[in-house]
Amino acid sequence: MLFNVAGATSSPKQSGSNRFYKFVYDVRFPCAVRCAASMGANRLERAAISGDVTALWRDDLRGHWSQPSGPVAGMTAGGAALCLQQMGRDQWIRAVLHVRHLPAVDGSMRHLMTGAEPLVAQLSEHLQTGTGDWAARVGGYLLDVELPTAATAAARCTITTPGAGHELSEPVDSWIMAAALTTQNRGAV
Amino acid sequence: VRVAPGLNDAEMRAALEDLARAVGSEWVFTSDEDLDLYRDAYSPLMGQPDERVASAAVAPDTVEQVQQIVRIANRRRLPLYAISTGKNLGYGGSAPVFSGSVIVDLKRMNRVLEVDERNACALVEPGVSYFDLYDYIRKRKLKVWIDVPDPGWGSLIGNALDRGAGYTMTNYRNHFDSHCGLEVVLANGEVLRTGMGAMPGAKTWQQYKPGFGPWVDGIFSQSNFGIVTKMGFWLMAEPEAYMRGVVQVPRYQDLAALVDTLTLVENQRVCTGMMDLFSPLLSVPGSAEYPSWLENGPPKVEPERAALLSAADIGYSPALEQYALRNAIPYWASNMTFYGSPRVVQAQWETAQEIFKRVIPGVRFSAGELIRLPLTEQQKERAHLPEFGIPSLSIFSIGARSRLNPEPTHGHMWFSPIIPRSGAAILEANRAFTTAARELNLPLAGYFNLPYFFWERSLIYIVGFAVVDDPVVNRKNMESFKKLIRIAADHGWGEYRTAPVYQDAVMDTYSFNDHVLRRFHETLKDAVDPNGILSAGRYGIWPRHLRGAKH
Repeated sequence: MLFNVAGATSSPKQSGSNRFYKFVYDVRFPCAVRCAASMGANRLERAAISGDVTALWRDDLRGHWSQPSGPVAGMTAGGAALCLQQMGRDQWIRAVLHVRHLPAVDGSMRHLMTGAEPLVAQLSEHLQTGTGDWAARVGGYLLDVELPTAATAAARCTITTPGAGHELSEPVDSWIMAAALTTQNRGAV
Repeated sequence: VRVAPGLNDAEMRAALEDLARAVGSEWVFTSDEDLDLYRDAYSPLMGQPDERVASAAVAPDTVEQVQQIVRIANRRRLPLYAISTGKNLGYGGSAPVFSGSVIVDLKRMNRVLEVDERNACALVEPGVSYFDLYDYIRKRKLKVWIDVPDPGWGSLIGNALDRGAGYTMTNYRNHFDSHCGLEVVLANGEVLRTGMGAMPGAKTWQQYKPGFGPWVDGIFSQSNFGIVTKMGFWLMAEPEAYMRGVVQVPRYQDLAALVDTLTLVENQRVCTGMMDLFSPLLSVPGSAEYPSWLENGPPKVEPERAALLSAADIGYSPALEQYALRNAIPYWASNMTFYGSPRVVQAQWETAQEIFKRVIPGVRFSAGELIRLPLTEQQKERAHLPEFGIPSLSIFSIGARSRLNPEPTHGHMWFSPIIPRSGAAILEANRAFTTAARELNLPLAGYFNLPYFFWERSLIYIVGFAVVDDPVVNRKNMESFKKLIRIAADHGWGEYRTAPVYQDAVMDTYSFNDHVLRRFHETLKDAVDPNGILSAGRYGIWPRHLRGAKH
């Protein structure tokens, strides 16, 4: 599997080379709220949902994705992530990084990552060496992440971080969705 | 470049070049990252060597391009698999049935060609989604509704061709039945129009369904005899009001009379909307409450009731029934919905109550608010939107793990046989499938399973099979699923729709007179698609050169 991610132009607000359009977070999950808070409102526009993505997709992302557009990141329930991924497919948008954050019985968190190799590698490093709890580290990663500009191999990786698992009753997903370079010049669909 | 079955590398490259000339190279997809978009997200074979995947994809924008693609495929013997938007998840996604086929992705053909408010009908292309048509109607302030599935994320044509269902008035919920007129690109590249559309300059293509002579529309649903490029639909005239009424019955044995009377008031058109069954005693939810029940599980009950439920035999024991009567907890209940002018709705609800009172002693009723339409924004927040013809994605609020499903899943497959509209059939189905589930060590979602009333005169008994990350568990579940297909068939119940991995097994059960139906399908297939290029294997119809092979 290869990934070929578009949208890699610098943003004055973000230190990395990405230009995220928005960070979507589900307010039902404290970790998602912490992740959003860790990024600061002035650095990345945030969109809060409470489970349902209908309005977000219908009134915002559908229009955004119908033209060449920057990537979108999020921390949501798995259902919302899957739904947006499927809706994105209608405009050839794909998940270039997907992380399932799974609470373990001992209170630790497992992070099952799938995606473009450099994205997985960067997130692994952030989760292992970043500051704050794991959710804040994901936030820091999103501010710093360098989205690849050329095709890269896919990777899978699992990282375990201590603590904070007890606050979650179900897994939460982090994700980055973006168009491929090969589709960037296509007209609106 | 992946190579389609039956071709070598050079032939595949030549075919792709032909396709690029037909649609433009930017609309031919061959990279892994592009083709990943066509994997079935709910496939139980995800990541396995036998996962069904595409070798390439091509996205035409016009009927003429579809014709060219089909002609190229015939010349190059290139297997194709057509999708509208590929949102048939739970019954198959955008992945081909015959692995290695080239996806013909029709989502760029997304034009709403006509909405006739006066006659309440529309003509659309395959890429038009429920959201697209809903927006089109709203922007023009047209007084018509669409009937949407839940979730309402897919294509009208795709859902109708797979025989999907919705939630509004009786005669619109069967999405294939509510279509009127097709345009189909045949395997030889010719364009066929059905019904009145067969007449040049026809004025009633979306108004009169059959046209003249044999009515062939049905052979293009759940099949592979052509690629549908336009489809007409009858829409619902916007009603003035909506109301939901609840019927509750006290005893276990009342189920038969409840179902029979629901059928009567539906057949008499006293009840014009969707109806369902639920059980307050057994904590079985109604259709509108099902997503919340999936997420949160059954409500907690007090210990005596919990013990009685656990000890009951498939939802019944005399002690449980006595408990229900003592505590005035209905054994069974139904939500009925009504659409029309306020006076008509009120009269229908009163008439329905009179009919139930004549038949079932102890029946009780509760009426919901009579809602004047259209809904306010505030009302939309609380409503089950599909009942109002409004597409929604809210069902995806459910997480990957729930009380009923403690292991994280990445999808599900629906086992959904059609059973008779009777209380006896519901009890028989519960006994048959509960017994089978215990033998197969399948988890049971509750104390009882109540079927859905999507369509008239029959019921759909739906069971969800989780798709998990463990391929061994998925393989085991697939075998169990196939056993349930056989058990259902032994009772005379057949699946109405199923995922690609089960389509051959289901078709095998429609075996009357030595599989004459399948043989007839194959005769048609050989006649209209002699090279077998279109969607091989879809719904168990294989072209001659692939027949008999294991896929």
